[in-house]
Amino acid sequence: MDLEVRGVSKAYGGTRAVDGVTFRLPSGKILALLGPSGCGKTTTLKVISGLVSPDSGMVLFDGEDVTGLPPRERDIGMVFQNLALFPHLTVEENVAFPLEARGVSDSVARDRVRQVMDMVELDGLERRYPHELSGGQQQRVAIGRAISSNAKLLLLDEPLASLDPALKSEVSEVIRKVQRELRVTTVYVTHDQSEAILMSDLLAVMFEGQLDAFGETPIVYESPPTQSSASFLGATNQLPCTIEGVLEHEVMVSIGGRSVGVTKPIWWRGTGNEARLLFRPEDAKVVAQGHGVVRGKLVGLMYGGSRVVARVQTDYWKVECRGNTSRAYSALSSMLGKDVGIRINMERTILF
Amino acid sequence: MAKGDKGGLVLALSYLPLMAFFTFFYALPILSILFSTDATQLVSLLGDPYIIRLTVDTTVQAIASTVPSIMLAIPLAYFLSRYAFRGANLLRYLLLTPFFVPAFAVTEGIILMLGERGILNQILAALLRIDPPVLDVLYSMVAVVIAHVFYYLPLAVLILEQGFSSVDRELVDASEVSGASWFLTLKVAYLNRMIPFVTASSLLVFAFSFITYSTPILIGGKFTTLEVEIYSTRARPVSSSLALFQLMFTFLLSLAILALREKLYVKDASSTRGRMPKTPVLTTSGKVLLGYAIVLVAIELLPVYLVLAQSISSSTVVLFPTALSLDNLIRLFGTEFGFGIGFIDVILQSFSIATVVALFSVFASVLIVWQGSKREDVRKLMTALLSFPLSISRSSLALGMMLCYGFGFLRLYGSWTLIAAGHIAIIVPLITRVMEASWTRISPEVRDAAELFGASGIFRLLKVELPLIAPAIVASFLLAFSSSISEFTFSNFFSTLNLMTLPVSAAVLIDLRRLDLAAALNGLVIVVVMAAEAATSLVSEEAIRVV
Amino acid sequence: MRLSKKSIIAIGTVGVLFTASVLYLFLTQPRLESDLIVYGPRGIKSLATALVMEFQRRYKVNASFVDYDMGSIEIANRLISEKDDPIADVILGVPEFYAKQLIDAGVLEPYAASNLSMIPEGERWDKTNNVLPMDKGYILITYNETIVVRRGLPIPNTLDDLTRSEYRGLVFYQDPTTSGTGLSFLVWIMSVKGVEQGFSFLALLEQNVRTHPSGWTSSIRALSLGEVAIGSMFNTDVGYEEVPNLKSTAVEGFVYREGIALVNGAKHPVAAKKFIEFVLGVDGQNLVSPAGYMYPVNPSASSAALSYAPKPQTEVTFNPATAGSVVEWLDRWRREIRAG
Repeated sequence: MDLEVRGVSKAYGGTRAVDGVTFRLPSGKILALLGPSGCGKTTTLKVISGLVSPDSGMVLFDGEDVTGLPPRERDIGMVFQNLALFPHLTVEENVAFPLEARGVSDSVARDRVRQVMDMVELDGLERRYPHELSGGQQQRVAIGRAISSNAKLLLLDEPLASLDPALKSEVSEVIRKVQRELRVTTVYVTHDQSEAILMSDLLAVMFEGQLDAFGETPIVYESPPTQSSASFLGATNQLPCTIEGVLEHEVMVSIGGRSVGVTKPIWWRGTGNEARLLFRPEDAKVVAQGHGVVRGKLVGLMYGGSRVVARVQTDYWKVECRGNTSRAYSALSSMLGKDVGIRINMERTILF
Repeated sequence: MAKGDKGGLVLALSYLPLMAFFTFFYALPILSILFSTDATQLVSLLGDPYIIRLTVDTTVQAIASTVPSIMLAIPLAYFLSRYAFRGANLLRYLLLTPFFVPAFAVTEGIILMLGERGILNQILAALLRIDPPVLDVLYSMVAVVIAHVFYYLPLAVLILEQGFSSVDRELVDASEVSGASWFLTLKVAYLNRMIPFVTASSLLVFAFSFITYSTPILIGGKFTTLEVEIYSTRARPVSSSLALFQLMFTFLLSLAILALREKLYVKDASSTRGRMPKTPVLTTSGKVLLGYAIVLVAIELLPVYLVLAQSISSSTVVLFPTALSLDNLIRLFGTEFGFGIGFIDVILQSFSIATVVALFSVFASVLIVWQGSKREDVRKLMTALLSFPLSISRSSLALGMMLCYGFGFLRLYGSWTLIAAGHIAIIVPLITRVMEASWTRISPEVRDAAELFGASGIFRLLKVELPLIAPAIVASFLLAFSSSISEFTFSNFFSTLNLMTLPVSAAVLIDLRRLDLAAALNGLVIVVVMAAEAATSLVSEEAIRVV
Repeated sequence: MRLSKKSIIAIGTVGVLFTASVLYLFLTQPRLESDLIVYGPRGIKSLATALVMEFQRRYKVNASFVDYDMGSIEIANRLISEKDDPIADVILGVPEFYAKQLIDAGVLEPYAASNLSMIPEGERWDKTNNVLPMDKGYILITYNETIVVRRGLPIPNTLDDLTRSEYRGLVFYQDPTTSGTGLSFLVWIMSVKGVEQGFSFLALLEQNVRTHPSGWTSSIRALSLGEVAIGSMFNTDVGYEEVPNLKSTAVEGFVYREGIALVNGAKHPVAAKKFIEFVLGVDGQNLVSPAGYMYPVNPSASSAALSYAPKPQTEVTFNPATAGSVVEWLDRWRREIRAG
C-alpha cells in the first residue's frame, strides 16, 4: 500500500508540532522518520494512524483520503513506544486481539496467531502474561500483535528505545525479518541515526515539526540537503572554505590556503564564493603537523575503545577526529598540546 | 445519516448518562423545593445580625476543626508515604473506619468518651485521684470540633499521603547530601510540593465541617451552626433561602476544592519520576512514627469500639466490658417490629436493596466515567456536577425526591425503588471517584492500541478497560453496598409499614423505647459495614485512597 | 467477542444477585397504591403506624403514614404549603397550640365524627371541630434522684425552682425546634408567665442549662450517663428502665393535647373519615397508651399500661389567647436564648 502524507500540520496550543509535512512512501518500503526529541515525528506517526487529527493536510492510502477515518478503520498495525500490551491478556490473546476486534472467525484467527507466533519466535509462550516476559519477548509480542491482522501499514514508534544493545540487535532482526516476509509498508520512528540507517529504505529527517530531508537512505545520509540534517546525521565538524571552481562532479575549494576537490552534492546549486565544508569525525584523522588539509593544536584526547577521540583546535573551530585507531593513542598522547594536522576524507565531505 | 448528524448524536450520547443521572437524582428534586425561594428574603437574611453571627460561628468552628485535623494528619501521612511495613493497608482501613461506619456510631462513641462519666474523665480522675469530671467538654463547640477531627482526620491523612508520595526523591537526596538541616530540606524539597495537598485537604475538612448539623445537634449543646438553623426552619420559605445561600457558598467552595484537586490528581497520576521509595521501619524515626501511627489509629477507633463494646455488654461506659451479653442480639431475631415484619425480613430487605443499589450504582458510574474518559468536557462537567452531594443536605434532597417521585408523577411512595433511588443519589458520586481514579491509571497507549487494532468503543470497554479496573469495580460494589446498609436519612424518609432497612429498624426500636435492642442492632450494623470495608481494602487500594 | 471464564463467572454472579434481590423485593413488597395518606410528626411514629396498621387490617384499606422526618410544626407547615393540591387525607398529632394556624390557613375541613360524642366535652378543645381530640400527655419537671441526693441538692418542684443557682450546669430541656416535648415546655412557660416574662425566665434559666437535647433519645442518653440531672420529660418516663432513678414530685405539669383532622380537599375523603372515626373509637384509642407516653381521650379506652406514671397535681393547659405565636416564639428562642 502506498502511503502519502500531504501538507500535514498539527499545533498544540501555540506550538506547531508538525508543520506542512509532505512525503510519499511506496508500497512495501520502510521509511525511517528520524529527528531529535520533540521534533514532531511521533505526532506525524499518530496523524498517520488516526490517533491524532491534523489541523490541515491529508493522509492518503493508495491515493484514497483517509484523514477523516478513525484508527480502527485504517487497517494498520502499530508498535507503541511503551509497547501498550494488554496486561490482563495472555501473549496469545494479545496477538489475537486485532483479529477478534475485527470479527475474524475463531478458526482463522487461531491459524493466523500460530503463524505470527512462529514468525516472531514466541512459540511456547502463548499462555504467559506480559509481566512474565523479558523485555525482548514483550517487544516481540507487540510486533506480533501489530502484524497479526495482515495490516497494510505498519507503524513503529521507537521500538528499540528502551532496549539494551544485545536486545536491540535481537529485536531489530525480528523487525527486518517480518518486513522482509510480509513486504508491508512501514514507517519507523527513531531518534537514533544508526538504527534509522540500518532499518530503512527511505530516510526522512525532521526538525521542529518540519521535514528537513527526505529520500533514499544512502543518498540522504551521504548527501544531506541541509546543514541541520547533515549535523544530525553525524557531520558535526565544519570548516569554512572558499569556492574556487565548479566541475561536473567536483567542486574545487580552498581551505587554509590549500586547494582541494570535494564531491559535488547532487542538489548543488551553490552561488557565491563562501561555503562551508561539513564532515563526520570518523572521516577525520590526526596526523603530524604539515600533513593534512588543516592544522591546529591537539587539545583533547580520549580512549574510546576501538577508536581514539581527539579534539583539535583549528584557526576556525574545534574539530573532533575519530579516524585514528586505538593503536595511535600513546603516540597521540605525546602530541597533546602541540600543533598537529588533520587529514579529511574529502570524498565523504558535504559542501554547503 | 450525514456525518455531521452522526457526530451530533454521538456528542449527545456522551453527555446522556451524566445529564440523565444529574437531572433525575438532583435537579428535579431540588427544583421542586427551591422554587419557593424568595430573592428579597435572601437579601434580608444576608444582613441579619443573627445569621451573620451564625455564619461566623460556623466558620470559626470549621477552621477549628480543620487546623488540628491537618496538624495531626501530617506526621501520619508522612509515615505512610515513607515507610514500608506489613499491615500498611490494614492501618489505612482501620484509620478510615470512623468515616465509613454510620455517623451515629461515632457521635455516640464520643459521648461515651467525653461525658462526665466517660472514659476520658474516668482515666483522668483515676490518674489524678480526684472525683470525675475532670474535663467538661461535652455539649460544647469543643465536642463538635473533636468529633470532626475524628471523622475527617483520616481523609486528610490520605490526601496528604498522596502529596508526600509524590515528592521528588532526588530533591530530598540532593538537599541531604548538601548537608542541609531537616528544616531546610523540608523547605526546599517538601514545601512547594505539599502546599497544594495541604490546601486541598484543609478545604475538604473545612467544607464538611461547615455543613455539619448532626454533630452540633447531638453533642454541641448550645452551640449551633448555619445548617442547624436551616434544619430548624424546614418547611418554611426562609429555610429555602438559607439553604440556597449555604448551597451556593459550599458549592463554590467544593468547586474550588475539586478544581484544585483536579490539577493535583492529573499531575500525581502522570508523575512517575521521583516517587519516594519506601524505607523499612527500622530507623529510630521510623519506630517513633510507627508508635505515633498506632496510637492515633487506636484513638480514632475508640468511639466505634466503645459503641460495639456497649452493644454486647450489660453495663455502660466501660473500656473493657466485663459482663458480656449477647441476649439483646439474640432477642433481636425474635423481635416483631409490630408492622408485620420480623428482623429477618428487615435484614433481607436491607441486603436486597443494598445489592440492587450497589449494582445499579456501579453500572451508572461505569457509564458516566466511560463517557468522561472519551471527552474532556464531559469529564470536567462530571466532576463539577457530582460535587453537589457535598453541598446539599440529605434531608432536603430526600424531601425533594419524596415530592417529585414519591407523590409526584411516578408515585413511588411505598416502593423499595424510592429508597434505592435515594441511596443511589449519594453513592454514585462517591464510587465514581473510585472508578475514575482507577480508570485514569489505564495507560493512554493501551487505550490507543485497542482503538487502533480495530476495537469499537464497546469492545474496548468490555475487553480492555473494564478488566483493567476490575478491582476498582469490586471495591466500588462493596463500598456502595456498605454505604447503602448504613444509610439512614433516605431510608427513614421513605420507609413504610412493610419496608425498612436496618438503621430505620433501630430508630423504630428507639420509638418503642427499646434502647437495649436498638444498641444491639446498631452494633450489628457497624460490624456488617466494617466487614464490607475490610473486604474493600483487600480488593483495591484505590477505594481506600479516593475520597 | 469471546468472554474469558472469569468474565462469565463475574457476569453470572452479578446476574444472579441482581435477579434474586429484585425478585425478593418485588414479591415481598408490592407497591401499594395508597388509599389513604396520613401525615403526622415523627415523634408519634410508633403510635401512628400502629393505628394505620390496625386500620389497614380491619378495613382492608391501604394506608400510609408519612412524617418526612419532621416535627409537629414542620409537618403542619408542610400541609399548609400543599394547600392547593394536598397529598395527605388526614393529619394527626396536631398540637393544640398550632391548630389555629392550620385552621386559619384553610387546610382543614371541619368534621363532626359520628362517634365524637364518646369523647368528653372537656377534652374537645377545638369547638369548631376542625381538629378532633386524639390523645394527651403530661410534661413534668423530672430529676435524677441519685445525682440530686448525692450532691445534697433540693428537690425541684416548680418551673421557678429550675432557676436555682444550685442547679447550675445540671438542667436540660429539649430543643423546641426539634422536639415536641421541648416545644411543649416552651408553650408551658409562655402559658404560665406570658411572653415577655416567659423569655426573661428562659434567659435566666439558660444559665443553669447544660444542653438542649434534640429529642427523647438524646435526653434519655444524657440522663442515663449523668450528663444532666434535672429537666422536662413526659410523666411516663419517670421510672423508665433506662433511667430507673428518674423521679418527679409532679407538683405541676403541662397538659400536652393533640388532635386529628380531615384535610380540606382530601383525595380519599371516605377513607379519611373512616380513619378518624377509628382513631376516636375504642379500638383506636386502646392503641394509644401501649405506644408509650400518651393517654387516650376516650374514657372507654384503657390506659392501664401507664398506671405507674405520676400525674401532675396542678395541670397547666395551653392559653388559647396566645394561639398564633408559636413560630414567633421559636424564632425568638433560637435567636435570644440558644444563641444568646
